[in-house]
Amino acid sequence: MRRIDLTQMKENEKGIIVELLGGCGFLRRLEVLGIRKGKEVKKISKQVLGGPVIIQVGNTQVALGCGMARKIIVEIK
Amino acid sequence: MKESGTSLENLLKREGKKNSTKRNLIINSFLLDDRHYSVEELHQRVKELNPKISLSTVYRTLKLLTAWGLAYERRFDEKNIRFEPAHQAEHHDHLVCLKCGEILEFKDPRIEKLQERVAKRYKFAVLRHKLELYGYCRRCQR
Ligand SMILES: [Zn+2]
Ligand SMILES: [Zn+2]
Repeated sequence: MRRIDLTQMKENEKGIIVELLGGCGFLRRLEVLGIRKGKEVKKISKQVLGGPVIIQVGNTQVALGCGMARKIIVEIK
Repeated sequence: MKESGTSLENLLKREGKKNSTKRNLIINSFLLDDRHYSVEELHQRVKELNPKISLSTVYRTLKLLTAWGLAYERRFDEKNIRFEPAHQAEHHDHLVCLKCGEILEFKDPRIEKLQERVAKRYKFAVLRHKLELYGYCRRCQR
């Protein structure tokens, strides 16, 4: 099992969120959007350098800023 | 699956608002980025994804997020009003560019300490503070 952040995931790769590195404001924002520990995420597209990361959580696709994507840690089987 | 009380759907339901794809797009774009957006900038950004979104919808949505404590409205001066996503709940200060309006965040424990010392010297009980440095960003100095 590998632990990486969202920017390091490959296209179409799936992982389970195991850690969120941020304060409570950050966690609340993610919580509202249904992004929390234990959820499965799938990386949709390769990102351009410094550009947003597009992932799928449940049945919604979201684009995260690069800084935020680095704070979300997933485990890849 | 049962959703928690703080889910977007629940928050909207409490306001008596229905799920709208446009509003969700604005909320997603704002909450998943760490930028200090002006209403116009966020409008520009979401218009690339859905050209039918109006400036007033963006403004109303940002006000809603502010009411929920997910965004903070910051007035740097009359013409430069920005919305900042709730982050660390940690204190930080700002560098404000007078030309392009860019806002950088910084935190320096030495400055924080120094302020405490100043307050002590004046026997002043500080509740909060705001430090903003105005000038030109790296790009605008060229
Ligand atoms: Zn400060
Ligand atoms: Zn500038």
